[in-house]
Amino acid sequence: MRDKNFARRAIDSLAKYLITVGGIGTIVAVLLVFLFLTYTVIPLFKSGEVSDRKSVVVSNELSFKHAVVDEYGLLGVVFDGKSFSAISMFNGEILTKFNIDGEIIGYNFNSKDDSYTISDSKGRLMVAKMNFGKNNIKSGDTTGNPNYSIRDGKIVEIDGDAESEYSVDIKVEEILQKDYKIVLVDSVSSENSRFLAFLDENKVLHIDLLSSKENMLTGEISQTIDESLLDMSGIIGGSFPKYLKINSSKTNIMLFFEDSRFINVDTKNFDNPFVLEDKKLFNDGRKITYLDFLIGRNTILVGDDKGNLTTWWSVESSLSKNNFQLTNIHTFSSGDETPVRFIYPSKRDKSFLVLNESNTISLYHMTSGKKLFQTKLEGINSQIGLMNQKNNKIFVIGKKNIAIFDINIPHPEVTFKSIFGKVQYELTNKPEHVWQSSSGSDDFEPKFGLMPLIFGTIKGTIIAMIFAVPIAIMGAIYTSEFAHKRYRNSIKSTIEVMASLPSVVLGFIAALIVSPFVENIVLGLIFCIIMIPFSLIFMGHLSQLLPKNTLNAMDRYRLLGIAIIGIPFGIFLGMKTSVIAEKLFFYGDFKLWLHTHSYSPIGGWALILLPAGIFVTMFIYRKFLYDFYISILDGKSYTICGLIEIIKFFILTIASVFVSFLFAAILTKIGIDLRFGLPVIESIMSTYVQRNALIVGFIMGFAVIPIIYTVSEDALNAVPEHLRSASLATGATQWQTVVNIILPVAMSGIFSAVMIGFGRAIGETMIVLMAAGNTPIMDMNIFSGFRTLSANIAVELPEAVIGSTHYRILYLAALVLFVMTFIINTIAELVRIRYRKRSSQL
Amino acid sequence: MGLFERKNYKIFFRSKGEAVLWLTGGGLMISLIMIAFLILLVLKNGLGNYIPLPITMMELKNGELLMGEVTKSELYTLDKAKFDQLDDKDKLRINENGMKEKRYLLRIGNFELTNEHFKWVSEYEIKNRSYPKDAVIIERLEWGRFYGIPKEFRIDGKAVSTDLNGIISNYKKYHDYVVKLWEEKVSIEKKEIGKLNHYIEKERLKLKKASMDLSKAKATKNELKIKEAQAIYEMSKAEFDAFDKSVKKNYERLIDKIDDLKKEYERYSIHFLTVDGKEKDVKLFEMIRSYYANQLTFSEKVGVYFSRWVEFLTGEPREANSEGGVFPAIFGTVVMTLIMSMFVVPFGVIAAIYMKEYAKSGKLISILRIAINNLAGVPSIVYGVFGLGFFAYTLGASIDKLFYSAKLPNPTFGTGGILWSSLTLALLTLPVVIVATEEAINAVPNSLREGSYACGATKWQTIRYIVLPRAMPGIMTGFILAMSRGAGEVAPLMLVGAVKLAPEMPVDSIFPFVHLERSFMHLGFHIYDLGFQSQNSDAAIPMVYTTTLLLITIVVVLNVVAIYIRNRLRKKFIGSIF
Repeated sequence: MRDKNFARRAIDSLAKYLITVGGIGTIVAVLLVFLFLTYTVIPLFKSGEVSDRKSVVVSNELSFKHAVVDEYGLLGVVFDGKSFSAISMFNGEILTKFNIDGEIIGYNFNSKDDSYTISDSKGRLMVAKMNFGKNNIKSGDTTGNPNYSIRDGKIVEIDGDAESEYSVDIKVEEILQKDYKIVLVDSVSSENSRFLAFLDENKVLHIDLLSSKENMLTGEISQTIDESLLDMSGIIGGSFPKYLKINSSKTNIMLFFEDSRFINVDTKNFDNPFVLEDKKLFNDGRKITYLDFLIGRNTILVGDDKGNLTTWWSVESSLSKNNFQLTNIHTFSSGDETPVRFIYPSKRDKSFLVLNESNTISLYHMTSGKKLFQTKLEGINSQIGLMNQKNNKIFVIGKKNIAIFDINIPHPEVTFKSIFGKVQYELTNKPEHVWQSSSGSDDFEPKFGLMPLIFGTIKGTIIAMIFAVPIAIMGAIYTSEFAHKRYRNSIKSTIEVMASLPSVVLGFIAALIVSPFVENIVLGLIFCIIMIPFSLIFMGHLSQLLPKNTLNAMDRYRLLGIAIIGIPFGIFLGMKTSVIAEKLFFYGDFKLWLHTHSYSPIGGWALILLPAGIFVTMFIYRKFLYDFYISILDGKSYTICGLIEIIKFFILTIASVFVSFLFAAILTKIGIDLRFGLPVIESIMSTYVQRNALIVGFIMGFAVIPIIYTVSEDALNAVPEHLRSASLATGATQWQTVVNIILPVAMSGIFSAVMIGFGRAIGETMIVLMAAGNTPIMDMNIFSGFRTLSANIAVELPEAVIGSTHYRILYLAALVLFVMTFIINTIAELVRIRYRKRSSQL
Repeated sequence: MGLFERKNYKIFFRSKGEAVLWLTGGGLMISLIMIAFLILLVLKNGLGNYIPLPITMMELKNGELLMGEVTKSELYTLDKAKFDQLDDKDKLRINENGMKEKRYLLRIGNFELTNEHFKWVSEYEIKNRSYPKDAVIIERLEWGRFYGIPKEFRIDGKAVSTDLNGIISNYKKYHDYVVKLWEEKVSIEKKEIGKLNHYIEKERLKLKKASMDLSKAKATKNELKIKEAQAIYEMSKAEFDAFDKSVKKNYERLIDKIDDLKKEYERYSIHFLTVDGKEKDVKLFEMIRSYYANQLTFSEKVGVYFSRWVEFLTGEPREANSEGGVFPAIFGTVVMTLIMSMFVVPFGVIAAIYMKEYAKSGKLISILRIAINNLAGVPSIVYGVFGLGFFAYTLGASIDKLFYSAKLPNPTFGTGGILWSSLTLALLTLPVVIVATEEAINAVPNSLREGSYACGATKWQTIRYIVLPRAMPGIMTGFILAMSRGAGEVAPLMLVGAVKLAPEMPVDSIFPFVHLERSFMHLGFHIYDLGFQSQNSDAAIPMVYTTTLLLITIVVVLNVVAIYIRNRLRKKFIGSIF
C-alpha cells in the first residue's frame, strides 16, 4: 500500500515538474524569438575589432609616392617615382624591382585595375599594371594556420597539405608618344577603349580617346586615336594645377590647385570641351595637401593642411536645373591640426583611410559618417596607409618599417542614424530615406533605410483599418444586439470561417482579380464607399414611413432589406454619381486628373474632406439646431415626423457636401494640392498604379475584419445581462441601451479588438507581397504601391547571405515588426484584463 | 394598446435609431456578402475549369483560320479609330452594346507551331464560326494542348489506318499499352535510378568521411591512429570501388532498359492536320487525354471532367506546375501539418494544463497570458525569420557539423526543410492549441475535480482521469484549428523550406523513409508561386483557382469541424454543471 502510494506521489510530482517546465517553456519561447532576433541584430551596431599593431622592419629604406597591396594583404608594390618594388608585407623583404627609365613627372593610380598612368619628361605616356596572382600549387586539407616564406621572388603559403604561391607581374605598356612634356595625366579604361586626359607644359589640356577594334575577318587589332584640345593657359594663369582627375562617366575633367582652386572641364561633347566651373573650394585659405577619388570615381576626397578631410560631389543647384556644382558634403576632422599626408580609398566599400602628418591614421566610412578606427602611431615615419581589398588589414608604411593592423569591421555602413534617419547617398542632392538593397551595377552601394518600409507598413495598415474597423464593429454590434437569435450563431460561425481563409488566397484575389477589375472603375468604387452608407441611412429613414407596428417588427427583415435594397441601391447610386462627378469635377477622366498639375484639385479635396464636412455639419446641427428641430416635430403625427426626418436627412447631406466643398475651395485657393508636394506624406491621391494601396487596404481589411469582429462581439456579449435588463426595464429602447449602456461598458474590449486587428494588419505578408507592387516609396498616395517590412523580408531574406549586413538588417526589420506588434498586443491584453476586472465588478 | 401609445413623436425616431441600425446592419451584411462572393468566385472558377469545352473554329475576316476552346469572353471599350473602320452591321451592334465590343479568349494551343497558347479575338474580326465534328483536343505531356484533325495512325512512321474508325480503334488498342510502357520508364528513372544515386552518394560520403578522419589522424601525428585510419580509409575505398562498379553495371542495365522502352513506345503516333494547314505527328505516349470535343455525350463529358479532377488530385505537376496535378503539394502539406501537430499538441496541452491547474500566482498567469497573446499576435513572417535563423542556420548547421560533416559545405539540415517548417509552424500555432485547451479545461466543472480529490486522487490522477478526458473535444478543436492554420500559412514557409518543385517527397521508399531534411511542396505556396512567378499566367490561372478551391475546402472543412465540436462541447457542459 505504501509502495503504491509512493509511486502515486512520485508520478504526481513528476507530472507537476514536467507540466511546469512546459508552461514556463511558452514564456521562454516568446523570449527566445525576441532574444534570437536581437542576438542577430546586435553585431550591426558593434564597432568592430582592431588588433594590436604588428611591426615589420623593411630590408631597404623606402621612399614613396604611392603603393598598392594585393587582395590578401601579403604582397605590396611601392612606387617611388622611378621604380616599382614588390615587397612582402609580412617580413618587409623586397622581392623584385622594376625600373622605368626616364624621369617620371605625372602619375595617377587607378584602383579598379591596380594600374598607374605615368608620363615622363620625354613625352611618353605609359600604363603600368600590377597583376597580382595567386597560384594554387597543391591542394589539400588546411589547418587555417598558414606559414609564409619566400622563394624565387614569390611568397609561398603552406597551410597543412595545401600550398599556394603569391606573385605580382608588373607590366608597363607605352600607349602614346608626344614631343612635349606632360605634367599631369589621368586615364580611365574600359573593355576596348581608354579615355585619357593630360596637361602639357604649355597648359594645353589634351583629351584622348584610344579605341581598339578587332577586325572580324583577319583578327587584326587596329587602334584609333581621337584627340581634342583645350588651351587653358589663359584660364590657369601663372601657377600649375597639382591634380588632374577624370570622373567615372568621363564627362568631367577636374583640375585642382594647391591653393584649393578648382577648374572643372565639361567633356560631354568630346570635340568641344569647355570650362564649366572655376572656383576655390575653401574660402578660409586652407590648402589642399592630398586628393583622391573614393571608389567608383564619383566622390572627391580632399585632405587639407588643417587636418580635415572633406568629401565633394556634383550636386544640381537648387536654383537652376541642370546646373551641377561641386559641393562639399561631409567633413571629417581627425582631431589634430596637422596636414593630411595621404588618403587611401577602400576597394571594397565607401570607406577610406586618412594619414596625417602627425602619424595619426584614421579610417572612416563616408556614407554613414562613422569613424571606424583611429590611432596615433609612434616610432614610424609614416608615409602611406593602405588597405587590402578584403578590408581586413591596414598597412601603414614608413621609411624603415611597416605597421600592420588586422581589422574586422563587418558593418561599417551601419549606424542607428543610417537605418532610421535620412542619409545623403553618393551623387544625390539631399539626405533621404531610401531602401534599395541590390542593383545591377558593380560599384553600387546598398541603401538600407528602414523608414520607407515602416512608412509602407503603416500606410497599408491605416487604410486597412479605415475599411475594417467600422465594418467589423458595426457588424459585431448588430450581431450581438439586434440580429435575430436564430441566426446569431450561424452568422458568427460564417465570419469565423472568413477568419480561416488563407491570406495567400486573398492576396491572389486582390492581385489578379480585384486590381484589374477596379482599374476601370476607380472613381465608381470610391463613390460606392460613400454611397452605400448613404443609401443605408436613407433606407432607414424610408422605413420610418412604414406603419409603426411594422417598424417594430423590422428586426426580422432588416438584414434582408439591407442585402436586397440598401447595398445594391448604394452601388447603383455610386456608379451613377461617379459618372456625373467625373464630368463635373475631374475633367472627364479621373485617372488623368490624378496626375495633371493644371487641373484643379477641388473635387479630390471635397472627396477626402467629406468626413470632415459631415462631422462639422453634425456638430453644428447638434449644438445649435437640434432644439429647433425638436420643436418642429412637437405635436406632429407619426407619418409627418417620418417625412420631416427624411427632409432633415437630405438637408444635412447637402449641407455636409457643401461644407466639404467649402473646405476644398479654401485649400485650393491657398494652393495646397492633394496630388503633389504635401509635406511628409507627399500626396493623398496621385498617379494611379494598378496594384495600389487602396486595393491592398481593402483586401487586408477583409482579412482583419473577422478578428476585430470576433473579439468585439465577445466583449459585447460579456456585458452583464442585468445591465441590459435594467436599462430596458427603465423604458429605454434597445438602441438607447446599446448606445448608453452596452457600448460604454464594452468600449475597452472593443478597443483591444481594434488593437489586435491593428497588430494583424501590420504583420500581414502575403496580401501585401502579392498585391502592393512592392515599391519602397514614401508617399501617402492611396493609388500607389508600397512595400512593407514583412513583404520586404519575404522577398529579400531568401537571397541574403548569412551574416551579411543585408541579412542582419532584415533581422532588424523583423525585430521592428516584433516590437511593434508586441507593444500593441501587450496594450490590448492589459486593456482587456482591466476591462474584465471592471465588468466583473459591475 | 391605446393606453400606452405615445402621442408625441419628437424623439421617437431618435430613440429607435432605425437609420443607424440600417448602417450597422450594413457593416455585417457587407462582410457576409464579401465572403459569399469570394467563395462563389472560387467555386465557380475552381469547379468550372475542368468542364470540357467545345472546339470552335473561327474564320476571320482577314482569312486567318483559328481553332480552339473559348475560355473567356468579356466586353471592352473599342477605341474610336477602330470603330470608324468597321462596317455598318458591326457599328450597329457595338452601338447597341453601349460602344462596347465583345472579345473572346481563344485557347489555340499547338504552342510549338504557333508560339502562343492563347489569342484574343474580337467579335468584329470573325467572319463565321463552326464546330468541326472531327476535331480533337489532346492534352499532352509537353507544350500544352493540341488541337487538330487526326489523319493517320502510324506505327514506325508508317500509316496503319487512315479512316476515323480505324484511328479510334487503334488508339484504344495501343494507348493503354504505350502509357504503361512510359510509366514504367518514368518509374525506373525516378525510383530505381534515384535509389542507385542515393546509395552511391551514401558510399561516397562514407569514403569522404574516412578520408577526413585520416587527415584528422595525420594532424595528431599519432602513428597508431594514422595506421588505424589508413586501414579504415583503404577498406572503404575498396568497398566504394566495388560498389561503384556494381552500381555502374546496374546503371547501364537500367539505361538499356529505358532505351528499349523508349524505342517501343515511341513507335506509335497519330498524324494530325492543324487548322492552319500544318501537319504534325503526335506520339501516342505524349497524349494524356484526347477526345472529340464536339461529339461528347453528357456522360462522356462527366467522364472527362472527373478524370481531370483525378489527375489534379493524384498526378504530378507538369509544364512548370501550370498543368497536371498537385499531389506532391497535397502530400507535403499533409506531412508537414502532421509533424507540426506532433510537436504542437503535447506542448500546447501541457502549457494549458499548467496555466489552469498548476500556476498559482495571478501575476505569473497574467504574464503567461500576455506571452501567449503575443505569440498569437507576432506576424507569421517573424516566425519565418526566426525559424530560418534559429532552426536552420543555427540548430541545423550544428547538426550538420556533428553528423553530416562529410557532406559539407552542402547543407543537410542547415537549410530550409520540412522539419524546420513544422517546428516553425508549431511555434506559430501553439497559442491556438493553448487557448482551445484552456477553454475546454475551463468548461470542466470544479465539482468533478473536488469529487475526485475527495476520493483521494492526486492532482495528476484528477487531471489524467477526470479533466483530460472531458477536455478531449476541446483539445481536438485546438488540434484541428492548428492544422488548418498550418495548411493555410505561407509566409514563414517561403523562408524555411517550401519550394516550387521538390524533386523528392519527404516520405518515400528509401531508408529511413521519412526524410526530415528535405524541402517540400505546399498548397499555399503553390498558389503564390503559380499566380506570381509563372511565365504563362493565362494558362496558370485556372490551376491557381483549382488549387485555391482545394486549399479553401481543406481549411474550411477543418474549421467547420472544429467549430462544430466546440459548439457541441459548450452545449454538453452547460447541461452538466451541477
